[in-house]
Parts: sequence; structure tokens; C-alpha cells
Amino acid sequence: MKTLFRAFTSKSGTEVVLRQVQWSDLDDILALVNELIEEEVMIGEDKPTTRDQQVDRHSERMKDIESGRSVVIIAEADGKAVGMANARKRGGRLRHTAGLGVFVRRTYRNQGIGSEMIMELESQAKNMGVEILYLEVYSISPSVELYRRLGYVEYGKLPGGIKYRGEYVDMISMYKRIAG
Amino acid sequence: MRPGTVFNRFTARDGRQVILRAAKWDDLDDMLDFINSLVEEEAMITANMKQTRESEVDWLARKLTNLEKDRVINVVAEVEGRMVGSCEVEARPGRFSHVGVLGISVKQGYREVGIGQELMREAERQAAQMGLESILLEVFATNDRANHVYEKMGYRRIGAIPDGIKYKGEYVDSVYMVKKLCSS
Repeated sequence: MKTLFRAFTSKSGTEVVLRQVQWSDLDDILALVNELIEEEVMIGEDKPTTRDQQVDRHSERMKDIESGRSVVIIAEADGKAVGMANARKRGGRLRHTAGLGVFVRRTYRNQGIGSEMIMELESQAKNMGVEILYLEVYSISPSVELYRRLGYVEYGKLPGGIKYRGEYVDMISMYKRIAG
Repeated sequence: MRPGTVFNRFTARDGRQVILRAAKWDDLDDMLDFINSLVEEEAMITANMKQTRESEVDWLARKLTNLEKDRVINVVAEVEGRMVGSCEVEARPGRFSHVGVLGISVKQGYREVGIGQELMREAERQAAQMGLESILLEVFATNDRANHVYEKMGYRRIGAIPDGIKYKGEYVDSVYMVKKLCSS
């Protein structure tokens, strides 16, 4: 059964459903991630992943959700997963903080889907006891501005923390207090 | 790296002989005792829950697997036949893989005699050899001793998550520091 969180119409008129991730999303996620890597999107990964690797990650993901460690949201449009957002709690004395990650398929970008996923993620993370969300972003990425608009504040910068297309890029760290 | 490989030996400032080597399976009970003693004394580390022998077995199995596959740098300090400190560096993934993340702890009763610094120096040396360019670490803002040592060793602060840590019922900032390694 699919647990639906919310449905909305994107800025360009696409019907989007935000829902819980399922085991059966595996192949959509595999295709999506590899498409992003191919496109050289500003994420950490730079090598295409195999289905084997994605099976391992997906099972970790499902386990983390069941144990209350992670929140994961899938954006579904036109019958496919077109975006994913996740927040994963850290352990021990840091467990009131969680790292955030979000990506959207190329043809579905700039329609507000990422922002909707982040807002949904924030409200669910809050219910899970998360007080602070943090993220890392390429200093040259347009997402920096998006995160700022959503209330994320820069707390650090690692000069040359990223190697992208043969160049060093600074890594910006941002956080947002969502509760507490 | 083969578990148990000896890297170096030195005399600590209190005169005790220290062996720096990679962790090995026989460290299991020392490691369990070590982590639980850190939790007990409420050391300024992430972990705040005691481990069982069973969870420690899983943890050490994973650690040695990563060591054998060269996915991690691991240096432990052995004094009088017991494991009393540990330092680990793990490379970040993908486009961040030139940056390693460092974690270190030394057992109560073995601190302030230079063991931590030697552990870090050895881990940094191996990290540079492996091609890592910088080392990143996280420290409690209120851990004056550690902050001082890291600064002395060439780490500089690049940011902090306000209230990123909950320690003894209080919020503490989580400070990030980085050091650029000299290329080998």
C-alpha cells in the first residue's frame, strides 16, 4: 500500500504526489540516480551505480525508515518517481540533528517540486524529534539560493571540498532549526 | 591494510612504551571495554550508549572488513598489551573523495601524554600516502583540550552547527575543523 503524504499541481501544471518510498521504487531510483550522475548534477556521486549497489542502499533505506532513523519522500509524476528527498538522523548525542538530501529529475526541475518535498520532509522530521536539519551544497549551485529562501543558513565552508569536472569547488554547509 | 600491522613505536611522556598498529580481531574485548568506559565517563564523543559484546562483534567485523579492503585508515595505540586509543580516517565518497573524516579517542588514564597526537600523526601520514588532500573533523565546542590540540596540529575551524550536540542535558555547538595535508 502506498502512503500518500500530499498531492499538488506544480508551477507548470504537472500533477505531483508526495508519498512514502516503497521497496518497489528500487528500479525507478536506480534509473533516476544514474541519470543524475550521467548529467553530472552537483551531487557527491560521480560514477554510475549498479543495481547490486542500489539494492544494498535501498534495503538500508527501508531499514532506516522502519527504525525511525530516516524520513524519505518520493515525488511521483506521470506514474514515475521523479524526485526523492531524505533526512537521516545522526547517532548518540547528535540524534536531534539530521542530514538532508534532495534531487529532482531534470525535466521536472524549476517547478517547485524540490521545495515542496523539503517542506514535507521538515514537518515529518520534526515529528520524529529532529530539531536541526543540515545539508551540504556546491558553492556554485543555484540550490544555495533555494535553500536560503527556505530558511537555511550557512554555518561553514570547506574550501576546495569538492572536485567537479577537474576543478576544485567550495563546499557550503547550511542548517535550519526546525524545532526546539 | 592487514589487521595488526605495526606502524611505529614510541615512548609516551609518562615513560610508557606505545605501539601504533592497525586494529586486529584480538582487540575485541579491549575495544568493548574502551567504548563502554568512554560512555561511562561521559566523554565528549558522539556515542552515549553502552555496547554489548554482540554489537561490538558486528562493529569490529565491519571495521576489519573495511581495513582489509583499504576503505579506511585505522591506527590503534597499544600499551602494556592493551588497546588504549584509536584513530580512524575514512575518505568521503565520490566528488568529495579527496577529503577524509577523522575520529579519535584515547582511554582515560592514558591521556595528556602525547598518545593522541601520535595516533593522529600516523593516521595523517597514511592519509597523505593514500592521496587524501585534507582531513575534516568534528569537535564539541566546549572540549577545550581537544580544540587546543587540533589547533596546535594545524587544524583550523571552518564552521559550527549551533546546538548541534546535546550533552548532559545542554546544547553544545558542533565545530568543524580542517587540515590540508602536504602532498607526498
